[in-house]
Amino acid sequence: MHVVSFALATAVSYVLGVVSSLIFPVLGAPGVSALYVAAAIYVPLGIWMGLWGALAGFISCFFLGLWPSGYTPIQAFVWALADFIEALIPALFFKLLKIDPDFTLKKPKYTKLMAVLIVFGALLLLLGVGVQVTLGQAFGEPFTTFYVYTVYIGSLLAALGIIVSIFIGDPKTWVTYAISGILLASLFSGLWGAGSLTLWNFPPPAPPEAFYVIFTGWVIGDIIVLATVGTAMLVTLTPLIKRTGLYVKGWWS
Amino acid sequence: MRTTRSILHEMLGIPPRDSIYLRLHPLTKISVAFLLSIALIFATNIATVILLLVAVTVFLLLAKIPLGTLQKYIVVIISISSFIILAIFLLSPSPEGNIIYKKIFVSVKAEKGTWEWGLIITDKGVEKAIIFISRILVMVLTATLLLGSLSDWEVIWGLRSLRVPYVVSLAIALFFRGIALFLKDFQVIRESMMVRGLDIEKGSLFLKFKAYIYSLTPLIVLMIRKSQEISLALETRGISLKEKTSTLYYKMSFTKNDFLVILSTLAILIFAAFIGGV
Repeated sequence: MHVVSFALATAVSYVLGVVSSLIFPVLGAPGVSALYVAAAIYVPLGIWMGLWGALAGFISCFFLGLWPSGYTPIQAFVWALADFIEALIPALFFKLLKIDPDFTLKKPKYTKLMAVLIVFGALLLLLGVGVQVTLGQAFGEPFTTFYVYTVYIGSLLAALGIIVSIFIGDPKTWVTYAISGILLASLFSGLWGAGSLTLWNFPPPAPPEAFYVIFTGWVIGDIIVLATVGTAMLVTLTPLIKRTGLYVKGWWS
Repeated sequence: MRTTRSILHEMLGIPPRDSIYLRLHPLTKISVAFLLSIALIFATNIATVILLLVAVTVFLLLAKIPLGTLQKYIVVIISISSFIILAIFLLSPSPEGNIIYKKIFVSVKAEKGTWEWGLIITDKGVEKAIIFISRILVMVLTATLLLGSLSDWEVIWGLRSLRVPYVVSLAIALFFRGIALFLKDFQVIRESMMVRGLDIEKGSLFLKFKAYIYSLTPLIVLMIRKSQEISLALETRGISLKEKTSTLYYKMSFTKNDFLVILSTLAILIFAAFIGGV
């Protein structure tokens, strides 16, 4: 049953990936969507189905790379690892910490607050780091002051978002999801995804100058999707997944 | 040999005409795309890029893939080309080569000098942009060649003939079938939303996003239901996923044409590596 669900989940992720990259494209980066809704499918799948979910992300992204993005098979293979990483990170956290995901809501309004705080916190952090890396190191003030303020405020907001997640429901589940499923998953997948489009691939389809633009668009888009749509999917469907026997306790079924 | 619809035919509804290339062994078609992908690594100068553009165009003509297929890629090509140009001329921190045009938009006096941002066009930048855009063309044409000449059935058949485990072939077959199923389901969900008064077509981007999100839960519930149905169907037909079956209903062998095409592509790869400076 898991193989069948995995294949069908891959198909759903692919369909959603194609639709979102057509509706909300990041200009100049084919297959990259400012709001990549497919992430809200395979990241929860990673939590529910372990490595099956991560593979669903990888294969759907590989085919998305071929069509409609137009990458060569090798480029698509390297690029698709970004979505594998994105689903693997929360799966890794949930499995290694032996957390039985319980996304029951005790205070639903806090989910919105968590999403807003994490999104704005991450946005400020990325902006600050971007300014420091591109300008602050070479030119010093006033860019370094801007960097310090944005990083402090951004970190504070993101930390507040994680603290708020404690009050949503089961603290272990929500804090782990906020850290691994929203922040780390988006960050690492953005690093690999934008890097494989601009810095390392066979050959990279976009010039290195575009790295930071694609990276920021990717990470912020994924954080928004995972904090809103991903959360909604986990809250709604986790009980159903557990009831139908699709839930995988280990890495594979 | 059974008649099949290529993956692009399934997705775009544009059928390819019968050709020698379409009748090649699936592994040959996959190898051609793979070798051209490797050759693209050496596309670091204009000569290599032109060689690859010519080669992939010849293969496309040989495969008789309708040019209408490429229309769907035009937006991709235009968007990425514009972005490449903007990135090279606007975002490059220290442009190389002789300056052709320079226009500074923002200038900030900083602690360690003055930071300037603007449009700087150099001869090396123009060359870089041409190479990147041409590489995009080669990429897109290679993907079109692969997906326009290969059917989902051939992918499965190719995997089976490579003795890839049965379960992998089955999963990939289900994936291809799933795409068609979920595209239809997605359409049905959207239409049922419109029937209930949600005007998605004329709505704002935010409404489209919301409608898109609303469609996810039913889509996943349908996916779970379909997984259960298909799993039961497989079981009732006695198909076990752990089975080590070696049954192949269709047999295809390599012909002279297959060897010829693979050898030509290998020659292109070696030549590309040679003029690409490796």
